Formats: sequence, C-alpha cells, structure tokens
Amino acid sequence: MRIADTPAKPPIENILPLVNIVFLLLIFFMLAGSFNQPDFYPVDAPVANNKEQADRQYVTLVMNEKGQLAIGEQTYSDASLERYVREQLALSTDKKMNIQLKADAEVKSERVIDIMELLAAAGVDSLRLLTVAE
Amino acid sequence: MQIVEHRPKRMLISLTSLIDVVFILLIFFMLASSFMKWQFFELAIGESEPLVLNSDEQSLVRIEGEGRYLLNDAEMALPAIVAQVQRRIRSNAAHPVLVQPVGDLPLQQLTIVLEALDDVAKKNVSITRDHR
Repeated sequence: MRIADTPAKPPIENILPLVNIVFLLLIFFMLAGSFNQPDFYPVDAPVANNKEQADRQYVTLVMNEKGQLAIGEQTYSDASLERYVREQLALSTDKKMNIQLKADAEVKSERVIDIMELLAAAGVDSLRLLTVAE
Repeated sequence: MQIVEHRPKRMLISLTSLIDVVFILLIFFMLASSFMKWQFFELAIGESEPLVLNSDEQSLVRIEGEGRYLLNDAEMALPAIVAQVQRRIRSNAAHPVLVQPVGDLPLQQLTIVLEALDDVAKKNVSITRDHR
C-alpha cells in the first residue's frame, strides 16, 4: 500500500510581503485617521472649502434635516436649548459659550436663523457653522 | 573540513496568529477612523444690522433659489456679486454684507454664498431673515 505524501507547507517567505503591506496599512490608518463620537442624529454637513479648521473644544449642537436638535446624547427642544445655554453661561466664568452648529445640508436656512436668534437671545455672541471640505 | 549545517531559524511566535490579529486591527481602524476635514464659518449673532433696502451703505445678497442671486434687488451671478462686494469693502472696510435666504432654501445653498464671500468679506457677513 502506498501512502500519499503529505503536501509540503508553502514557504513562509511567500506571505511576508502581504504581512508588510498589511502592517503599513495598519500604521497608516492608526496615524492618519481620527476617532469621532457618533452624533445623536445622522447629519450630512454642507460642503465648503474655507480655511478655518474646526476646534474640538467647542460644544457641538447637532441639527438634523428635520431641524431637531441634540448636544451629545441629549435632545433639546428650542425652549430647553435656550434654558441649557442660559444655565451654561451663568456657570461660566467669562460669561461666554463656544458653540458650533453641525447642521444637515438639507435643513432649511430659516431654521438655522431661528437657532441663531435663539442663541443670541440667550446671550451667545458668535456661532460657528461647521462644514466639510470637499 | 567541517561544513556548518544551516538550520532554519525557529519562529518565536506563530506568524499565522500574528497576521490574524493584525488583520483584525486593520479592519477595526479602517472602519472606526474618520478622514473628514471639518471647517467652519464664524457667524456673528450678537447684534443685527438694521436692514436698509436699496442702499449703497450695505450689500443685501438675496438667495432666491439654486443659482438665483440678487444684490440690492438687482439679479446677477454670484462672481459678479462677490466682485461688487469686494469693491465696496475696499472703499469702506466696515461695509456690512447681509445674506438673506428666501423661502425654504436648504443650508447648502446658503453655504455656497458664505464660501464665495468668505475671502472678500470674512468679518462683514451676517445672515438675516427674509421679512418680505
């Protein structure tokens, strides 16, 4: 009886280039990418190319295409947002609150103006409108 | 003469399990990392300019729809509006520029105008509601 030979294992050198490329890709994604906390509402921000880079230190107010508002995991009505901003301004030492608005590109501009007026009434003097570079 | 026999080096760890872990890490970083470049327009919201229609003292840019723009009620293309605003700002650095979206205009259309005016009138631009 003839016993079949067990096939020889492929040499390890064949997969080394693959491992090298996978390592390079891993290092690229680790260094070049950044982790962002997902927003409460999914938002497709408007596209624009301006030179100012967004700052993570700002409070991000998210507005979806229906005009609903959220900060972090908390949703807000217009009245509760105004109350929240007033409370935060009262707590801050310099009476300033840095807010950036991440609004959906399809939301009505009138709705954005509503929120700008609401924030102005609450005591905020400037607002950053976030956009995504093309 | 004695020839030293070359023996293959022993791997310290199994390459297969190392590749498995590296692949899992690669997939995690590919899915979890974000390459979006976030930028912003600074909007002054504290004080509002009084709206004076048909005046050379301020530029009112009305956006009536996609690609339909009016500067102080005269319809013109966006590059022409930008050129006019730039000329006015050169003669008066504090020349106010009001951007007024009309109707149910999506924010993207407003952003196109803000982007166009950003280089010539960064500090002068404010957004105003359509009261007509």
